[in-house]
This record gives sequence, structure tokens and C-alpha cells, in this order.
Amino acid sequence: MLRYKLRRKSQSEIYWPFIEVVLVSIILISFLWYVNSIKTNTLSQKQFLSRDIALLTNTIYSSPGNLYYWYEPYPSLGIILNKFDYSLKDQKAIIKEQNLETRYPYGENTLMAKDSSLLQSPLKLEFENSGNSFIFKNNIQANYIKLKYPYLDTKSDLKSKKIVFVSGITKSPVTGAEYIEGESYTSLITPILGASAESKISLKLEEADINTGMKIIGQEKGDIIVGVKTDILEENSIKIYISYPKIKESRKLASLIANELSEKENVRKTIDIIPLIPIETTEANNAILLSLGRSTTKSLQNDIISSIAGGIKGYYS
Amino acid sequence: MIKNKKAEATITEEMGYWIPRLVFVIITALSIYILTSIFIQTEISVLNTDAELLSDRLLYSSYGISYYDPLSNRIYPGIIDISKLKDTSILEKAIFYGDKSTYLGAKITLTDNQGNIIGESIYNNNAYRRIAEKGLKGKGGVELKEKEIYVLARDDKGNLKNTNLKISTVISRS
Repeated sequence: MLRYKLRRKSQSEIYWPFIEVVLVSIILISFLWYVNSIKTNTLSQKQFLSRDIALLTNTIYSSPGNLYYWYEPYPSLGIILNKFDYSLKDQKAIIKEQNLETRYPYGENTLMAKDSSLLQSPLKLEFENSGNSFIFKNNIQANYIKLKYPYLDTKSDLKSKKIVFVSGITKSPVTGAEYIEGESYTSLITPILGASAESKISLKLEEADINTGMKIIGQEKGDIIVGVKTDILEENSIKIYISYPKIKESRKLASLIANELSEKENVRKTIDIIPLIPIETTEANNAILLSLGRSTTKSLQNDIISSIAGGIKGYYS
Repeated sequence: MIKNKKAEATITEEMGYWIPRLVFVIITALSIYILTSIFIQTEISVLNTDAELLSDRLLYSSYGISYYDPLSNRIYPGIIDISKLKDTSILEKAIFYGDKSTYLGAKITLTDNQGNIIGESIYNNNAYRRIAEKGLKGKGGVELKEKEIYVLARDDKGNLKNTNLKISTVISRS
């Protein structure tokens, strides 16, 4: 009986600590697994990135000026950007890992043009708010020279609009021959835009100063009046003058033309848009006056023509 | 029979000794797990920042409610254009969270020094009406963030007036 008791007691003395060791081992392994799952789980990283990128997109959109920004999380955060894919779609910042997506909403500006693509395992994220466009893609060529302009709903059928081009007559100081300045511009732009455009010649435009020139073109009747004056001595120089009463409309049109021009190889610079003091005119026209260099090259002339046409098309689209 | 009874008594005695120890191990393990979980933050709340950003977009963006000067092509964040405030159609397109989105909305109120309302509008009523529908409390409710600033209000004739701008932003918690 004593032998039996000892045997049972020694058995239980081994049995219970064994259970305890097994239990502690299970708990220890569970903890290690839990810690490892936290370490390898990327959900919190994706949540952080989706929120951070959504907030950043809101900030980029709110910029009143041109902005280029590249995004890389602080190294101390331990977030490796190229582990995931990124996109801005349906007003959501989307972080994708294999087929799993984490999303967070942002406020899209639907009045601005948006150029975004899926960025796969990027080393950095690039954003740009320039002119009237928002860009989110790889290797953005930062463009600070695009002009911003006020939002105006000018969408309309171009064919129903009357576009008037005004150019002046000047006399050559050498030969004394008279020729129409800007005629080549207006005659070439008119067919690009369609039958609604017409070309006019103003005898006084070339000799007039800028303010008078603006008054002259402001007398014309039409939806858009574009005056062309070649009075700047500097080669390849371009200035666009705008004035009241439709200064918002004129600024939008002038900015669209300037933005088209800034993309041309012969230009690649910011075009000056100069507002003038209010002009006294009976017509409430959207009038702009282009002041160009006297010895503008042929290729620049072609760039100016296509930019004016592109700007007018953009204004009504 | 006697042997079995004694053996049962020994096992019961042993269990009585070991069970508290096992319970203690389990409690300790659970405590460590709970404490660890408390310090692991997986949910990141950015509601305050989002509300602040909405106010910034309203004030600083050229598509917001601030006065735009076409001569200088600049906006004046301290001057509110009353006509832009009253008509939120541009604002709804310029800060667009999706069709029928209930994520974020705001009530913008402009009052004079006597507290009279000069202009008032609601941006994204789908979200703003959630205050009435779901209330402010609970996970399905909304956060309400209010911001007040002194600004100048500009009317169509160009007259400026000292006013108080209140932006009450509502953000969905869920």
C-alpha cells in the first residue's frame, strides 16, 4: 500500500510539472507567434499610408499656387514604400498588397484635370498641382511655369461663337512698304478654329500704345477678340495684355494660351500676362492683346498660332 | 476499493495544489497579452486633421470661399466672398468625396458683430444631415469639429465688413 502511494505520488509529481511545462511552452510559442504576426503584419502600415496619402492629396489640392511634392515616409517609421502599389481612384487613396486593398477617402477637385496612374512598388510618390492639373505618377517633369486661372464655366460649342482676330498695318522703315502685322497669324488661325472665326485689320493698331491698342480691339464685336501687335524689339518675346470689363474671362483665356505656349520647344518659359487699367468701351468683350517680338522666327510663329488656337479650344471645352 | 479511494484522494489533493498554479499562469499570460494589445495601435484616427484640412481648402484654395482678385490673380484668405459662400455648387465639385458620400460635410456660417447671419451654406448635406440622423455619439455617429475665425466679408459691390466665420465640420467615424 505504501509502495503504491509512493508510486502514485511520484507519478503525479512528474505529471503535473510536465503539464505546467507544456502549458507554459504553448503560451510562450503563442506569444512568439503573436509578436511575429505583429512584426510581419502590414495592415497598420497600409492604414497609415492610406491615411497619410489621402491627407497629402487634400493638401496638394488646396494649394493656391503651383506645387511639386515627392513623398517618402520618415525612415524612423520603418515603412518601406516599395512593398506596396499605390493609386488614387474614385476619391480614394488605395494601397495595394497583392490583391488586398486598404482605402481612405480624399476630396477630389473634379474641376481640375487629373492625370494619375497605378504606381507599382515605387521608391517615392510624386505629386504635382500645376496650372489647372493635378498629377500623380512616376517621374513627373516638374512644371512650375504653368499659370493658374480662376474657375469659370465657359464650356460651350465653339462653332456657335464669333472669334475675331485683329491685326494692324505697319510701314517698313527701310523700304517704306506697308504690310499687315500679324496677318499671318490671323489668317492661319482662322481656318484652324472653323467658320466662326474672322480676321480684321485695324489701321491704327500697330502705331497705338498698349492701352490704346486694347481700346481699339475692345470696340470689336465678338465672343473673343484677339489682337496681335508686333511692337517688342526683343526677339521671341511674348506678352499678353488683358483688361476689364471681362478680366476673369480674359485671364482664363490668356492663361490657357500661355500654358499652351509654355509647352512649346521654342518658348519653354512663363509668358507674362499683364492686366491693364479698366478700358472705356461699350462692348463687354473678352479681349486679349498679344504683343510679340518684331523679328519672331517662323517656327515660333507656328507655335504661337497653334497655342492661340489651342487656348481658344480649351476655353470652350 | 480502498486503494482506489486513496488514490483518488491523492489526485484530488494534487489537483488542488496544481490548479491554482495553472490558473495563475493563465492569468499572467492573459495579462501580458492584454497589456501588449493595449499598446499596439492599429487604428489611426485622422479625423481632426481632415477637418482642419477642409477649413484650409475652403480658405486657401482658389476654388474655396475666399475672394479672388482677377487683377493680381490671387486669392485673399482673410476676405470671404459672400456670393461664393452662398452658392456651393462650385465647392461641391472642387471638394468631391464621391456621389452621395457621407464621409465629410460642413456648415459654413458668416455672422456680423451683432450675431446676425450674413451668409450660410451647407457643403455636402449627405454628410451633414447625419448629425440629425445618427447623432454625435457612438461608432456609427459623427465627429463635430468647429472652427471660428474673424474675417472680412466682401459683397458684390466690393464693400467690406467685419465678420465672424464659423466652420462646423462633420466627419463620419465609421
